Amino acid sequence: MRKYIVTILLLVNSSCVTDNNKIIKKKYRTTENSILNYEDTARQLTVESINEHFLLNIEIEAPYVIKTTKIKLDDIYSVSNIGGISIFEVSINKNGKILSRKILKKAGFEFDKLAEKILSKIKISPAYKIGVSKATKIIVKIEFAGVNKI
Amino acid sequence: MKLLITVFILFTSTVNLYAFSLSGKVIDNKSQKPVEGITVAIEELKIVKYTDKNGNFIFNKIKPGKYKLYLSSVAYGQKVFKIKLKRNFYIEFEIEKNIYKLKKIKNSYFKKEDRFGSQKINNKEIQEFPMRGVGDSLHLLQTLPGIGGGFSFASVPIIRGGNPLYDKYYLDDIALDYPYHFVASIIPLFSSINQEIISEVSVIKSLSPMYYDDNLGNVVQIKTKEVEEAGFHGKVSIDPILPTVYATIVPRPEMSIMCAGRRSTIDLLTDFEEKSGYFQDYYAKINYHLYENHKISFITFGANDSLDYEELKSKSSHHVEAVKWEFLLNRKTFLKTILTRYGIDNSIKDDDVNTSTGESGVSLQYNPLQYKIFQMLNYTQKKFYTKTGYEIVRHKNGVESNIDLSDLPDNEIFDQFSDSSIIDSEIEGTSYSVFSENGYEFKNMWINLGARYKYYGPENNNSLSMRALYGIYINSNNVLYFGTGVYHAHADVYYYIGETETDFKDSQAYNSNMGLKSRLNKNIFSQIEIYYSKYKNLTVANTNIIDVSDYKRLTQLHPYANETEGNTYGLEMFIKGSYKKYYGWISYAYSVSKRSNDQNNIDDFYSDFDQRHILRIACAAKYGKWIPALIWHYYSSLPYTSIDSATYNNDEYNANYGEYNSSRFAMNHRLDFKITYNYTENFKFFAEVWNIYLNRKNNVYQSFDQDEPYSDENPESVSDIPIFVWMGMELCF
Repeated sequence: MRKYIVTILLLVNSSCVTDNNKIIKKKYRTTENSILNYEDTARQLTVESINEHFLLNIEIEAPYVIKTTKIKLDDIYSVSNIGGISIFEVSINKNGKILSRKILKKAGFEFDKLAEKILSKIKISPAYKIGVSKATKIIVKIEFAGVNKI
Repeated sequence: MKLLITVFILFTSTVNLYAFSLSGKVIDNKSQKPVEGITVAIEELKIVKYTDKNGNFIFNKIKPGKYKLYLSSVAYGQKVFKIKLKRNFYIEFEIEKNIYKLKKIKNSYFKKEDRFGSQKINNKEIQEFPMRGVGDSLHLLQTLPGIGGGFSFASVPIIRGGNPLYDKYYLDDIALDYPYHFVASIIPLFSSINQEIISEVSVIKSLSPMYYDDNLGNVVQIKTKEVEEAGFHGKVSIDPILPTVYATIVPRPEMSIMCAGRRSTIDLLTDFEEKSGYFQDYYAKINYHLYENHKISFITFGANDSLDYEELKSKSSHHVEAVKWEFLLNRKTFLKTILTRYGIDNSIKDDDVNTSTGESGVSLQYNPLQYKIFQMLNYTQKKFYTKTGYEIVRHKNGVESNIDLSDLPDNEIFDQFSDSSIIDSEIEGTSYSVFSENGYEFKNMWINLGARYKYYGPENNNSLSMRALYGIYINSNNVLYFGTGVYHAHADVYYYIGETETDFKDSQAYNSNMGLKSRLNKNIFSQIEIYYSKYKNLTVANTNIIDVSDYKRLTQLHPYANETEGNTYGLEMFIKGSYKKYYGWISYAYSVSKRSNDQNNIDDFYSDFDQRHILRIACAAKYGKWIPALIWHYYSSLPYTSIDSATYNNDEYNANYGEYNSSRFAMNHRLDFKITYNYTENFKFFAEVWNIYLNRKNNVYQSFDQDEPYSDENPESVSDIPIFVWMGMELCF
């Protein structure tokens, strides 16, 4: 009988490290107490779903360009091989729409105006976290450069 | 038994005592206010929590150990901290609001090429491939087709078997003679152009455009980077000899500053008795966009080298200061104006005084100085363009020397000379050039016609250079091109060092080539080119001091190529591209460079720079954070004049040389390897090994000991370095 008592005590003590932790059962739900740990495997959650849940919570999907447009330049740029980089700080809303822009570095030679034209036609995906998009600020670099035809 | 049970119960109860809490607070580093809703997660335990409205979080009953703690939020980005938990732990994090950087948007356009089929290397390739070695940013050029080098450390590219003294370097349209660091003022060691500032380096072979001055058709064009980050950014590269500091600043939208510097450290760390020396170089560029269509750049670039070896003291330096004004007048016209001051100041001096003459044993100084104005107007029409302009150069200073060669320090090379030379040559005068490059487009055909007239003040002569280049786009993936040109180059300062009578004429080259460049698929292109060049009036320094190949090999830039005319022909093949995670190129060149000397009546010998076959395979790959890269070299050695016997005279053996440049060593080959580990985006390590075959002997030149009689072992064949290891790290901020 004593042996059983000792065994039970051992089990109770050794398993209580995260005993208070609750388990999220729906994959994409997030709550204040959404906690997962190694014991979830014993409660029929696979390692993959635990990892997925964890990654979902810590990973951020940064904004990216969905679609951009190309501006045709005059021949003088090709002949003189004029190039440059315009850098903008852009605020986007949670739909990726550009709310405001501020130029941080000019490229000159009318490239900045052309870069603004590109910005007016560009489509940007906003930042996402746990499936929810958020308004963010982004740095956009637009480079104008000559390349060889072949 | 009871005791045992008690111990067990006590032991198991204490397990809880070894579980701790991990808690903390997250605050905004600017507002110093707590941040709510930040995800805090422990990777090893897969536990996720969120900060409350006071910025606090807590994990209870965590076992001791090492953990990775993630802080994650859209507004603040993601931060990772490594934590070693041994007791209850409380930590405060200050985090900064994140601004995401989008991938660069590239709006590219097709360049109107002034020379079809020129090849280039870019900054990424210079950084990733071996051969950057001791900071030699231009060394990788030697893997391009038709470009050779005499030995592993030979830094000066030999283009199509020609003397490098006839090639020209351009750094952002600023002409440079030899952007290298020198040992003892005459031996180039490695490029003085910091690899961090380079965007790309192009090699134009045989048919350079006419707005490039003073070359026989070959030009190395170095384009520097543009500032790519707003704010203040930089990089520190630490390696055993030449640490680099590189920084970019954008203080205002219309202004950007880029600067870089290197300085050797070995002299600071080590005390060599009676021997000291250093290398340093710098580059700075300030771009200012004055109004919308004007750009003004202030550029300064230079290098200083010093070497004191007992009584021998040498200094070498070159400095450029330039102001560049670019003006887009309208949608058809672009004006470029460059004012340059370019000076070389090299000196070598031996403090030992010759008792018979009262002069010091060696006193050589060459300090040519140029003030230059260059202006070029580019104008375009629908099917036509022109680049027309002028250049005025004011030449000053020259060469002064008083060399009693027999009094030079005890050195195997100098021991072989017994002449003396007193030179006082001015390279002074004003040169005027006008040039025009014109392009015409007819359907799928492109024609370039160019000409340059030049009056060269120091030698008081006139020259007319011309070229024509035709390109036919067979289809969108293939261009066939051929061209021909006449070029003129003037005697370089090195010829003034090696010659007491300086009545030089300009040298001429008649170049022609034909090639086909093809895009095989989206990522791979190939090129094949054949060429023929004929040379006339090549300059010869007649000073009777040289027929030893070791001196020639080491100095690379020397006026003692015993040639007045000749020709070069050859074939080059090149394929470059990427496939999955692999990237690289293969280049092969077959070249024959024959020369003759009508002054000395020597006919039909191989040029000092002739390399019959050159095959290089360069390949890099990306495996996660690792980038391994290798280059395999297989090439003919440079020719040399063999020593067939020796005559005993005045207590020493004087070598009797065979037919000029009639001998060659066995084919050289070596494998260089480099590996780069990108630990984080801002921190990386690299290590490179040259000549991995430890036992491979690539012979470079013959050395004859005048104290010993001629035998099978004297002269001795001297081989290239057996192995060379280099490593370092880079930290970006």
